[in-house]
Amino acid sequence: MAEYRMQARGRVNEARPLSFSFDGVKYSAFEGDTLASGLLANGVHLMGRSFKYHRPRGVVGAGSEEPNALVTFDRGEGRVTSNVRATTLELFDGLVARSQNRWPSLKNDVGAFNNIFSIFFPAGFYNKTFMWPKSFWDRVYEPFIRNLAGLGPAPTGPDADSYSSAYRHCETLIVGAGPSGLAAALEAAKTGERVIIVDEQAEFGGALLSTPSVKIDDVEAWKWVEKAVDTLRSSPNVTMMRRTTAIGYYHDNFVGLVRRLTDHLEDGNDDGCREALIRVRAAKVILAQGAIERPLVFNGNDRPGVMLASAAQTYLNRYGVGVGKNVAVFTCHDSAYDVAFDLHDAGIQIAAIIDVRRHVPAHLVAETETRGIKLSSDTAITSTRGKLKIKAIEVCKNSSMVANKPEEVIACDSLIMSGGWTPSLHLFSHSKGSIKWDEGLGAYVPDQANENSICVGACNGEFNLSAGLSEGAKAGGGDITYLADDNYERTGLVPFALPKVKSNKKQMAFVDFQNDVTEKDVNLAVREGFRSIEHIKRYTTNGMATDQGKTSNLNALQIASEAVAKPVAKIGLTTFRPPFTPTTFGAMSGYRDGDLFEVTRKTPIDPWAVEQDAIFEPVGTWRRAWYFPRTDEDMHAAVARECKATRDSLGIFDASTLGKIEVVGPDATKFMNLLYTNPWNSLKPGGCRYGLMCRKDGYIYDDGVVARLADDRYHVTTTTGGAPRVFQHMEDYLQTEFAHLDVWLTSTTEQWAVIAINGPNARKLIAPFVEGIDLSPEAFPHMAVREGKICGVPTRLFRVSFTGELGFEINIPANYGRHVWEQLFQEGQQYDICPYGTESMHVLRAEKGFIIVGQDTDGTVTPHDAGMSWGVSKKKKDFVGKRSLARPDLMAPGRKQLIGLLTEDPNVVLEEGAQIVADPNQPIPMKMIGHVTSSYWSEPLGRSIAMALVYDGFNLMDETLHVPMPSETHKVQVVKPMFIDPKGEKLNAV
Amino acid sequence: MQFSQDISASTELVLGETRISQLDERRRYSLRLKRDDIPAANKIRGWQIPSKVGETVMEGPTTISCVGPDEWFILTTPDRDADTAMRLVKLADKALTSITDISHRNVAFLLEGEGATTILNVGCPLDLSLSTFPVGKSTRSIFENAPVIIIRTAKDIFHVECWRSFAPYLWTFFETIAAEHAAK
Repeated sequence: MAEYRMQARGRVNEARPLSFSFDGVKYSAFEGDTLASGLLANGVHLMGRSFKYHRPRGVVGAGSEEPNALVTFDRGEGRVTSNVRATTLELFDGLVARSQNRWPSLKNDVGAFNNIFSIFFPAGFYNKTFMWPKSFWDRVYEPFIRNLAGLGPAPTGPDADSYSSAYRHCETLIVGAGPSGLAAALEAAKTGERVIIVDEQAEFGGALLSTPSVKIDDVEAWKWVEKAVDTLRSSPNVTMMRRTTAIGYYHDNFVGLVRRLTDHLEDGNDDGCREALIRVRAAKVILAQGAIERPLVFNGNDRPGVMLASAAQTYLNRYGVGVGKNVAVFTCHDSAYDVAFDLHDAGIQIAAIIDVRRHVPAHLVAETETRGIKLSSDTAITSTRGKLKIKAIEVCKNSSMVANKPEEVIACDSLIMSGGWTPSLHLFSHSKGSIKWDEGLGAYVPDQANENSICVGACNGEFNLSAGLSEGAKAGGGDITYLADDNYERTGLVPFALPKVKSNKKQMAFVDFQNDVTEKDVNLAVREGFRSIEHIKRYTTNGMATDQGKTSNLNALQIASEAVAKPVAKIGLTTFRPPFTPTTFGAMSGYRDGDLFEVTRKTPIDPWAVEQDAIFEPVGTWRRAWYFPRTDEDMHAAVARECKATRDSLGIFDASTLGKIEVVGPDATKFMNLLYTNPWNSLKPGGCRYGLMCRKDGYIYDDGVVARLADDRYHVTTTTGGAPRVFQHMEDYLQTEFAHLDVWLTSTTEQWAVIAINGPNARKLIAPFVEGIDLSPEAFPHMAVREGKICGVPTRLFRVSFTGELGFEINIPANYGRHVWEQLFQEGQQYDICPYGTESMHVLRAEKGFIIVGQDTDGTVTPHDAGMSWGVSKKKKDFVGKRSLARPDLMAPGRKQLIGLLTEDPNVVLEEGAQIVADPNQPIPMKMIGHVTSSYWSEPLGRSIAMALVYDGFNLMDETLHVPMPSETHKVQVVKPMFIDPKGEKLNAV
Repeated sequence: MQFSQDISASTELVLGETRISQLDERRRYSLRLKRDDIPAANKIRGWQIPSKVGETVMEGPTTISCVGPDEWFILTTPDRDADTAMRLVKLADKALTSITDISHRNVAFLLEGEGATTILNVGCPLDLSLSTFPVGKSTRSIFENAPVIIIRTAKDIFHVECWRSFAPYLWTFFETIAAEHAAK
């Protein structure tokens, strides 16, 4: 049995001993222990080093509020978690944990030199110090600060665990399964409606697990909990979740829960999901989160062995562990006496009770006398002694504080403290519930709820057990009154600042243990002009550590309040933000890993491209074949070959990702006239037209070929990436501005697979497969559409071209896409058919000067700027963007205009995005007059080509400009952006 | 012609009493109609169009779901397609309509069994309990990143539709959930 284990106490299973290791040392404990209770049972208080000063630190609490005892939990490769609170880490046989922020060891830490020089590291130290010289920032300061930042090692490999997520719905969600939460659940269960009750701990019961002697309606606390849990378990409408933290409370009663499924299991690694994120939508939320005891801020209050009184009670009664053998008590609140008496009754010596208050309630004084416990009221601790663990306290009467030495030194091996209680308002605050200051409690309590939520028990400021239980029952929909035997009112003086011997400057009285913020830091912040608690928080970093100041916020607030001489309520309270406790990235991402990280949309022809070893690129949410390299070919070579093959004979391209919208209704033409800049009245059924779409600001938004299938039916195509937003844009206008039109829109992007056939042999290839369509150039000219069959399946056959070659776009119902593709590919062998990808498609269209919206336009380019005034109807009375296009600044000469560029050296391919200047000899910074938007090697031309947006570009034809690139500045000549077949003879090939 | 939606592995998953399968070929239409014309549509013999958004009328393998104020999603099997197409033609004669064939746009999955709601709720944020999502209810929703249409055709049967390029993503999700179920 470990030295500090109290036999036959606590809820740990003595029949199931286990062993665990901390910093390589093996210890024994029992099933049911946490790492903290297991270490304390072995007399180990030192569990970590502080963040800034590397001061030795022991465990302060017993729950998720723990600021000090952060450890690294090691479950093997890919399963190392830093900053796990020892108080919440459940032990299993063989568990491995390590301390953090120390080198070479926890007991001898080099970093502790910071502590010696702590006087040089006040609040704002970094902000003040690392300002000069400026050149030091990159090389010295930033690496230094980065080195110091953070606790524990960041993982280097991928996470070996898997995580899950789900949505749940219920009528009542109860957060916290302490007495009030359980009472609420018991009543809510009776309604038959769906109830979910969660608790972050391994067991239900909350504070009752630490106070077994209390009786509720004459039933002992643990029995009462057991009965309540049994009742709930047998209610089919109740879902109970242990080890489940409500991390955030969002709009409309949406609460995020993280459930830990395997970390507590010895064989947890083999057991599926490690954690689950459960997103609950609840009709009503009952918050029963309890309260957190407040530390006292005094010189030396961070010595290992100094802890919260309530934590000592939990270790004793729940885990059967004595936090010491000779325990001193420092308090300003009655509740510490309960703990002192519990410890004393368990056989632990109480060195003394030091109470700051002048008047201690008579019944407590009487009980200390009965037990023979020494009580000093109107007294304070002025310092603590001991190196890695407390050995003694220095005590002084409040009235004698002037003298600079202790009145008395009392030996002890642990010190428990109580500075009153702070109701847990975290989730209530997430939901934007308002809070109010309760002078009696010296704490904020809930005021007005913003959601359908209700706070019960200690988190509502109700510390009386009977009342808290009844409050819970009422919130759960019941009408019963509980009577607990634990009914005296615990009161306390919540001190703004403790009496002290030393001057402020020499004290190390910690407010925020985790971020090493002392009382004097808060005072310094105020002296330097910070008044709002939000500013003081950021300047001192108080409450900004991973515990979000659960134990420190109120103390900091009170110290600041005194320093600025304003009531607490006037200084406010910092905002609570989710998550309530640190949450793994795994839980946040859930299933979104690997193939499920994001949807990768693939076309029906994609599997064929995979078989051909195509290289893919992402385009919006799609992946598209980028190019089809042959053995030993790089992209450049593959693209050159693909382009040449297409121009010489035949290319085949998967265009299935093109957005498609079916516009149907008697007013379809009116609608098209309004949404596109082009005129549509003149387009007859069977015809196609290039459509240009502007936003209302007159800038190009999208483009694509539109086919008119019937008087009342258009087949509109959009860019791949633009499909969703164009559909939205159209639907938006239809429902708001043009609601009078009888027309409907249907997305048909995925109804059709699209195969683009381009090249001089295009017609020859498809002719044998086509039924019901006269393919002759007279009957089926460029920019026409016909319906018929191809390879035996229905098709909408477009004669269009995005390459400048004779081209067809074959639309077939998607399931037939691959079948038709394979037949054409097979037949095309006689013409050396070449599959090409998106890169060649880009080159082929650039050779013709066809723009790509989003590449050659950037949201500030009008149709005129793009050289496409021909696409804007001058006759139409209205269309989206028309009024903007008439604005003086959009009509002004000299705007950036799209032109072509030819480099003087034909082998130089400009960089896309490169800036353009008129005179390369002007002083730096040069005046930039434009930039390159598209730039490629053109194999058929045997030279490079480029497109660019240049101020007043249309008037610079044939002029020479310059493009500075990293190696040298290149001379370029301005040309029309049309490099091949400017007359379109190939397009209209007969 | 071979029916394929490029879901490489098996098209059926079994999780205890619950079964997830990919449906074979279906015919689908998007019907747009003014609400005033619903009575006219319902005069067509054997034709019942639901008028409330979220309602589905089921007739054998054919379901008509009202998925928007003026929008219906019609689903049927190839052998019943002629009948459905005929009714649509009749309807187009009587009233202003937009009828678009979207048979190949979507892929359908069937989730059958007690665990169906739990599986759907992995990615769908809606309350699928019988009281709020009764048999015959249909809705547009999402499953994680995939837009879907969900139709409850029986107490424990859900018909889930998505655009075809989202199908492999959904199927991988179902496979992952099934693997997790098997591990437990």
